[in-house]
Amino acid sequence: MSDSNVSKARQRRRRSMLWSLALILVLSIALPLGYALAQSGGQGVQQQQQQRFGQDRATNPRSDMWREAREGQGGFTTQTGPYVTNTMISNVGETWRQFRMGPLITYGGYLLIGALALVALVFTFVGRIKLAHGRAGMTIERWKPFERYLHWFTATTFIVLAITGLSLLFGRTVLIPVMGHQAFAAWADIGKVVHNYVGPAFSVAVLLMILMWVRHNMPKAVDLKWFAAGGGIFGKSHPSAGKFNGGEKVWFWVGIVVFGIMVSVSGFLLNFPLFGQTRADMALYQAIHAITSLLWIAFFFGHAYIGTLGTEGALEGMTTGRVDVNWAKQHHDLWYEDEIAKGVKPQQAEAPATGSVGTVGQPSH
Amino acid sequence: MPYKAMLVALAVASLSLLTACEQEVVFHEPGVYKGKHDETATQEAAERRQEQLRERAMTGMTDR
Amino acid sequence: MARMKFLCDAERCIECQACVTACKSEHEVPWGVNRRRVIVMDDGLPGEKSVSVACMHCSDAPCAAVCPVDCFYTTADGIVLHDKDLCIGCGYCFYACPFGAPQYPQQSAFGVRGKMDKCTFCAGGPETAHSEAEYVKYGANRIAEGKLPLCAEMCSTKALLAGDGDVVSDIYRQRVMRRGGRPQTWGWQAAYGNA
Repeated sequence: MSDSNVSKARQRRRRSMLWSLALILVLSIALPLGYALAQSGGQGVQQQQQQRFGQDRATNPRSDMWREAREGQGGFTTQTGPYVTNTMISNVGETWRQFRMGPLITYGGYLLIGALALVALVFTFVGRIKLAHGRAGMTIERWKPFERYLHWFTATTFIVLAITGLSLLFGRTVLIPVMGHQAFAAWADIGKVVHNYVGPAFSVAVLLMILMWVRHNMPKAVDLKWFAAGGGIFGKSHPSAGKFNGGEKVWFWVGIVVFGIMVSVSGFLLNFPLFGQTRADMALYQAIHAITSLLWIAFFFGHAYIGTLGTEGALEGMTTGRVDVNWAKQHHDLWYEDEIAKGVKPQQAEAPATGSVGTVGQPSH
Repeated sequence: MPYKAMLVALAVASLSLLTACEQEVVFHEPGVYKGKHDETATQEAAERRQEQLRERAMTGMTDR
Repeated sequence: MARMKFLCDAERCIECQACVTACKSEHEVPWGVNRRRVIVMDDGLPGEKSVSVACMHCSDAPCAAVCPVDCFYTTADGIVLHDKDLCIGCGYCFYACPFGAPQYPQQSAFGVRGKMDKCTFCAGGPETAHSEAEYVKYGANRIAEGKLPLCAEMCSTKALLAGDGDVVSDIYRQRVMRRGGRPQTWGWQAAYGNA
């Protein structure tokens, strides 16, 4: 009983304290304001001040000139040179600096680490996709030599470009503390040159790749089923697919076509500052180039994982050009049926290195 | 599976290298330089020339 | 501690380009590279004003922030300098700089940039003061001799001021007090009206 009385008293005290605080706050705002309003006869203060300010500005021609300069409007300069600008203040630089040193480096870093972690998680918990019925010992040609050369050319240049590009973006935070300034500057110098010269070659290869594989990558209804079945990575089923499965088509359209073209075009414009690009243009291209490349590299981690560690029997298709028949049936059954219908004959696989070579007198190819 | 465990351990180990990264991106502090030594940049040099440069400005830049 | 600053009095600058010439001559800056330039606003119109612009030696310099190789440094009295041995000529400082100060000699075809060059506040760079290497890379080191930047020291109308920010702002404040704060009490408007 006494307990409830005490708590009630405390509650009352607290309520009165809150109310008096609120009253003090309201009065501390209302009293000076009321005084000012009473003195000035109401709404006049602000208007008067605005009028005076307006008059000042109207009679101060210099303020217009400084305002123009601050907005980044151009003037006239007699000096000439490729990097001479006629603007007193360029506002885009600080924006670009904030973007590059803030969100780009922070979230770009998270993106790459996240993509790697995701791949590691899939590998740990899902593991390698095994050949369901072992090897058949018979192989069928999956990639023609030209396709393989182009693939590996693009792959190597992609990795070189990624390493040099990421060095330039993250080097200061990641590499300089490790290598020191002198060594990193030497590395970045080589990296910049390599990046600038390899880039155009890579772009040409990407373009050729698009032309070469676009007809196999037309979206079909079977791709939707492939996605619905989790692409064979998640779940037990093995969805059917043509030469390119749904995932590969996404990699083609998003990775190679969209990212490839965006990176190539922005890279070209950055590489050749010869078309009258302004600083604002260059900053914009750099932002596009960096964002797209980072997304592409993150996507690439997935592609590289699935093609090598993630799927048994996939890598040999790109290295030797031939895949095991059981692999073809499991992962690209529609393509395999088409090939067989076209009259392609699977051949005996070359004996593994440990076994005897040319046992059953199979034709060598 | 020790192979997989090793791989995961390697990945974790290499990712943990990133903890060595500098949080502070803007490294430059007045008078602090990590590269080649520049005598002109030091605190002592700046203090030594401060008075001289002030006099120079007062004689050279003012309307005498 | 002093903080070195440039200040250009737009009411006094007569666009004579002497600062530009002095800078080029003092440091033997190559063709196509301009450490300092005069920008004329409203050229040929009433109210035309010119301002001499170079590196402003920012306290929080954007060039230093974006440099991938971290080659910039600031002297104890606030002069922003850089190390050409580290510079890779990526052009980032040019994109980031509000004042268009970084310049690059073009060394080969396709617009490949050489090492960045900019105003050093006549303080040379990370080489022994007054050495041949310093002069070739960064130009003269007048600060080490106790002299201020040549562009400002030889400005005929004393429009361009250089030195410790406190000193420079004192000089400028006194000047403004004497001539009156409003531009219409001095200059074109006073002489010819609002024509």
